[in-house]
Formats: sequence, structure tokens, C-alpha cells
Amino acid sequence: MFRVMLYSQWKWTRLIVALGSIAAFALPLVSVQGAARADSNPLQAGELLQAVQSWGTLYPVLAAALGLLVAIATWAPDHRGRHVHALSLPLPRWRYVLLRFGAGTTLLAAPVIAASAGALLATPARAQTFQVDAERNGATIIRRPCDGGPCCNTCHVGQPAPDKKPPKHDHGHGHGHGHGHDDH
Amino acid sequence: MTNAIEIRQLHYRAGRAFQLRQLDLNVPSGAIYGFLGPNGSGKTTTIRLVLGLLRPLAGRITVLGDAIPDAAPRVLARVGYVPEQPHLDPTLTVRETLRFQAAFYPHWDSPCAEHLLRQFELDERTAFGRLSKGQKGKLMTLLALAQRPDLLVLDEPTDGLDPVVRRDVLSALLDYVSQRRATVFISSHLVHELERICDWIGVMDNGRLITEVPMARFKNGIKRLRVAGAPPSAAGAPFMILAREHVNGGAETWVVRDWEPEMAAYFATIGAALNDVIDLDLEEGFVELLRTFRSPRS
Repeated sequence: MFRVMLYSQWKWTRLIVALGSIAAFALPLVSVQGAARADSNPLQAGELLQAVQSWGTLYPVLAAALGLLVAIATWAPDHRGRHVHALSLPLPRWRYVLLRFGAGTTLLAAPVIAASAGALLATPARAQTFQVDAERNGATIIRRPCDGGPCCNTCHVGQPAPDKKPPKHDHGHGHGHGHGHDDH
Repeated sequence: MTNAIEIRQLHYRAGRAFQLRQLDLNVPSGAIYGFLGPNGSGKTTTIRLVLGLLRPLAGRITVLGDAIPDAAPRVLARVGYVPEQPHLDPTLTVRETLRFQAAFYPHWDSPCAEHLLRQFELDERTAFGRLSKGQKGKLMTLLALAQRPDLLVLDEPTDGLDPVVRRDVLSALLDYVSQRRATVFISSHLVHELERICDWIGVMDNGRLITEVPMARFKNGIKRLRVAGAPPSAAGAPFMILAREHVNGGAETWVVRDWEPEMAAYFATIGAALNDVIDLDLEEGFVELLRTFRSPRS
């Protein structure tokens, strides 16, 4: 029963689900595109986070739009037939609703998985390129890899290399101890 | 004789304009029951109440021994329903539609479905939305029959179909009924169609059941009489006079109900002469019945 319901619903929502999945996959990748620019021009961490955050508002928008469109598309064939077919099937109404709901939820798993996949792909790719080290009085993005020996002074010019300190990669937290250059 | 469908004192209202009032209806098991009535008389509403698609305001409905709408899912598993309008998912192909339907019906008969698919010459790869009206009618009939139902509820199943398709659909229905001894509750305003296949008839008008009788009695009981010299008042007639029209001179045409041959003697008692007794077909009888029901005299 569930399989045929899922198939019927897939036929109505496949375009929406496909486009939604593409969008959901692309969103994490696109949202860290701004951060990539930090490679060549160090940014303030706040600016980076702001850029990522501004893209982040699209997640709930996409989720709401997808949920609404899938619900409408699911309802459409029943509505077109004035629900006569649905009501004349030999199963309780609550069970029919549950089947429809379950099928819709299953189909909506695709964009969720796509978003997760996009995020998984985007995060390590960016982590290879740069790293965020936050300082107490103003976060700074530090480029990686650093091959400058004791200290290349690219990011913290004039300050001594913290060669005795353990590596600190706070990724945005503001408790850095001045210099978190583990590669130095 | 048990009844496949029993309706008692049913009341239902749809808005201000339409209501079913005090409806009593009995469909005997194994019968082919023709449900006649003009458009808007309440046939489809009654059918939807019988299937539990609508909830009555008052009254009791029993279908195949179970109360509706409480036991609707159990009853619907034994009922094949062909609605007035095709309502299936237009994106599913014929094959997919069969698969969809089969998943919900415990007694689904795949060989029967395949047989009817070939008999109706339906292309299984065509989407339902792309089928012609006749093909849709055939597919709806196929779906209803492949469920192996004990009761077939058909709401104008051949309305708008060409004569060839209509014949195909009706012959498939009759084959099934003769094999399974299933009950058929068929609504239509195509009176000639029902006349050939039904053994019971119920007539609805304006939300009320006017009559419910065996077909033979309905057809035999309604006659057109040619009468001469009848007095203006025909008091004490042993039959019901549905219509009375002057033809020319003293001749009149009467349309009567509940006619029996021995009632011819009545005319001699009122000083009139009965010249001819003409059989009416179901359509004429139906029209006269409706006319009488709607006239202020009735």
C-alpha cells in the first residue's frame, strides 16, 4: 500500500523534489563561496560568519517552500477527483492520511539528504583551504597551509611565533590566546 | 430474502436547496436494481451516503449486513464502485492504476483484470488522463469487477459513452453478475438501458423515492388506455390515474398505474367504453410517473 502511494506521489512531486534537492545540495556550497575569498584576502571572521548566515536564511525558506509545494502536489489528484477515490478506498480515513503523509515525508527526505551531502562536501573543502582562528579582540582568518617556518608573519605581522603553544583551532570561538597558529 | 442495501428514514441536507427526506430503500441481494431519476433528484447523493462518503443527518444505512458509515472500510472492500465522473490519478498509466488499486483490495483478481484489459483493448502504457471517455469508462468498470465485489454500485456508468462501448461495459457487468450472483445497484437516467437489465426499479425525484417495485410489475402496471364516454369524475377506480387527456370528441387517453386486465369491467360500471389498452415502455411510464408526482394534484 505504502509503495503504491509513494509511487503515485512521486509522479506528482518528482520535479519539485528534484529541483528542491539540487537547491538543497547547492546551498551549503554556495554559502561558503564567500569564505573562499579569504584565501587571497584575509577577512574578519565576523564578516565571514555574516555572509554564511545570510545564506543560512534560505534554508528555512527552502524547507517551507518544499513542504508547501509537496503538500499541494500531493493533495492535487485527490482534490481534482473531489476526494471520491480516496474516500471510496477500503481503509480508514486516518490511515489514508497517514499513508499520504508518510509518502510525502519520505520524498522530502531527498532534499534533506542533499543538503547534508552539500554541507559535508562544502565543509572539508573549505577547511583544507583556510581555518578560522578567533582572537579575543577581533577575530582573524588565517590562511592555510602555512609554510612559513617559524612564522611567516602573513597574518600577524610583528608578533612572535607561538611555537611552544599547543595548536588551537577554535573555529569561530572568541577565546584564542592571541596567536593560534598551530602550523607555525 | 435479505437485502444487500437497506436504508431507513434517511435524512440528509446539502445546503438549503437540496435534501433527502425520510428515504426508505431496499435492494434485494442478487438483484439488479435500477435507480432512476432526473438530474438533481438525489441519486448520486444517495449512492455516496450508501458508500459512507457522506454522513447522514438521521436514519440508518446497512450495506451487506454492516452499518454505514461506521463499518465503511470493511464494506468497501466488498463493494465495486463506478462513479459518475472518472476520478483516478491522471498521471498514472493503466498498468500503474491497476497496481495501485490491487494494493488496496484483498480479493483483487489479477487474471480477471488481465482478461478484461484484453477484452476492453486498453493500452496499459497510456496515462489515465490521456484515455478517451469510453476507455475511462471501461477502465473504471474493469477496476470495479477485478475487486470481485459482492455488490456493484454504478453511478451512471455508461453516461456519455457510445453504443459500442456501452454494450461492452454492460455485457462485462452482466457476465460478472451471472457468474458471481452479485447485487448491482445501478443509477442512470438512460431508461432504456435499465429496462433491459434490471429486475427491480426505484424512482427518485426531488430527494424522495417515488416508487420501488419489481421491474415486471412496474412495466405491466402502467398502461395507456383509450376510453370513450367517460364521465368527468372517475371515482372508485381500482387503479391509479396518472394522466387523463381529451383526444377528440368524447375520446380520452388515460395513463394508469397498477393496472390488471380484470379491471376493464370497471368502465362498464361508469358508462364508458374501454377501446384499447396500450403497453408503455419504461421511459414512458417513468415520465408519466414523474409528471404525476410533480403535478399539484398528486
